[in-house]
Amino acid sequence: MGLVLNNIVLTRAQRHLVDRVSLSFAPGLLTVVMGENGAGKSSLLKVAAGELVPTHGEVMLCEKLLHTWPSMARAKRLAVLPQESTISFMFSAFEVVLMGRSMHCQGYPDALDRDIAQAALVRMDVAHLANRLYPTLSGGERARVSLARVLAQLWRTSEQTPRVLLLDEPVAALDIAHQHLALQVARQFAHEEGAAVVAVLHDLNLAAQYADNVVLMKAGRLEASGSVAETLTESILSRCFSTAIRRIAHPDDGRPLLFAT
Amino acid sequence: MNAVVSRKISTLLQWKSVVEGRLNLKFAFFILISFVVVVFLLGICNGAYPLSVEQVIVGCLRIINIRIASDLLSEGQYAVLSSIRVPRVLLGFVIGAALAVAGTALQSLFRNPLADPGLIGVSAGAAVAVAAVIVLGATTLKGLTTLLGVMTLPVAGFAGGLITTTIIYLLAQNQARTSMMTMLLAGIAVNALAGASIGLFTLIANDEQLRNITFWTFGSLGNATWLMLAVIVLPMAISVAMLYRASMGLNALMFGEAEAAHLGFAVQRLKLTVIVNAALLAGFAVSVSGMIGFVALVAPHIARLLIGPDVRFLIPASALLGGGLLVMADIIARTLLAPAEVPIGVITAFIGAPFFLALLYTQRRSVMGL
Repeated sequence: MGLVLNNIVLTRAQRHLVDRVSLSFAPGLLTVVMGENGAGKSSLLKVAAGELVPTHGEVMLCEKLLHTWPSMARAKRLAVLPQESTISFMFSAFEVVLMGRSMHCQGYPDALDRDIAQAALVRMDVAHLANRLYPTLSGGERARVSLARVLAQLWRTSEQTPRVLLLDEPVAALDIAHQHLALQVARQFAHEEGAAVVAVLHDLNLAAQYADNVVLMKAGRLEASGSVAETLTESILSRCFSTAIRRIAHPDDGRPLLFAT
Repeated sequence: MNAVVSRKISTLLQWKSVVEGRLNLKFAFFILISFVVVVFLLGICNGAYPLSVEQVIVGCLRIINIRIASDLLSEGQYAVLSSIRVPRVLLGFVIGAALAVAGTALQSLFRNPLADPGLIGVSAGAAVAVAAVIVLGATTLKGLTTLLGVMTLPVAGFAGGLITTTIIYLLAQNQARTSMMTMLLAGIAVNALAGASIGLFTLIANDEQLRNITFWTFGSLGNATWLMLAVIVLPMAISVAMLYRASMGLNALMFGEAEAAHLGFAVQRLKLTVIVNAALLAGFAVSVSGMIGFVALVAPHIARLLIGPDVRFLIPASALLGGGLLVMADIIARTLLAPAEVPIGVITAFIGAPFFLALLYTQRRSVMGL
């Protein structure tokens, strides 16, 4: 179940962007992927999304090779939020979100699809922007509309299909309140709706606060993976990010607080 | 009862869409269809031999075998109307609509509102193939022309358009996005190459072929016949229908290929659909009316301003607008220096090129960015 990466190697121009990575993203868990710039996080996500074909290794979605899935059935189980979505055509925010329903409605969205798109906009706190034009929105607003789009794509319908949501830096453009909103939504999507959610993040404290599992990458390799307690330690993080990192307990509830010294 | 009437009136008055800056779809299509009807009437009325609106209506009904008030229209006037004016206006509409739909589809494929079969060289590629057939058709390519008959020039235009579209698409495409710079620069190169090839053909052409080629490079609807319409309408209608069926995919392509794939569209098939059908539309258009630029750029752009970029509505809207605009340009071409006729490509370039420059001006930041 979920998404499984088996011994993935991705080579481009004689460089190993991803080097022998095996991972399993289980349903019901929010997995956070972290690492320095160029560590191979986005490449790994693109392999997981089927966007890049790995040089070696295989990607399994629900126990079936990813590339053998029919594209329509796959889109109902796997949604991907790219790092940024550039579009110069004047779609409204609502139309962008409704695009996520394409595979559920064969081109003609019905009332249910519209309700789902509206609900996804409300969930990401962008309902007031529904009739604004997407290219005229601010970066953070666009990011939230895009998140609403991938939520709409996997929105729960009657059938209980397993679902996987891949988010590449979903909070990079967001203000602090919406960073927390986005990760609450992502975690809820995993815990309450049983989806496997994977998010690339840069903020150690957001990871510590929301992740069920953490994957740390360095130079294309897996540096560590496991629970927050196992992975977000001073020694592992300092090695992974090549900078001294301190961990203290939060004065209120004792959860880890991490910062560079 | 009163409430129903007042609601009907209020929906009629709601000409603005809920989306900022757009027109209500019904209102927009009402305007577009009215525009087409008006230019049709103008196009049939105007010319060296002016006809009144009543005569046009009577004559058009007679074409479809409904005879009323026959005394209004002399046989000579009917002949002008049925064998010159009507086919010419219809051809103008079909060509304009086909070019506009080809432009709409290419703009989705290239993710770029500046993609135009004329600018990126698709029409030029088609024109070279057509010129080659005109010049070599009686000699080297004799077998081909006898095999294909009246379809020879359209098929040649299609083949030329298909080859150039594919080349430019492969050049302009890199991993995630297609580069606007590469696309336009490749268009310049292809246009130059096509110009040179056509120049070579003019050298070896005889007088009649030369006149034909000149006619093709500037574009004209002057040779319109019912036969010509009959040859191109069905394949063009099929292409438009195939592009229309793919409109959800064309919407998704505007978000990028990777995202269209994540949304569940079969992207490779989609791209093939666009390339083949856009090349057919542009190639067939070039083969009967020559190179008519900018319609494919202007019509979808205005249509997008009116109703937004959703291809499901954009295809019919830009077809109506492109067809109507080309009929209008043809009226100008016929009347501006009457009795002489200005090539219609000259008219569309005079209107379209400043439009394109204005578009570049408003988008110059994103142009530089790519």
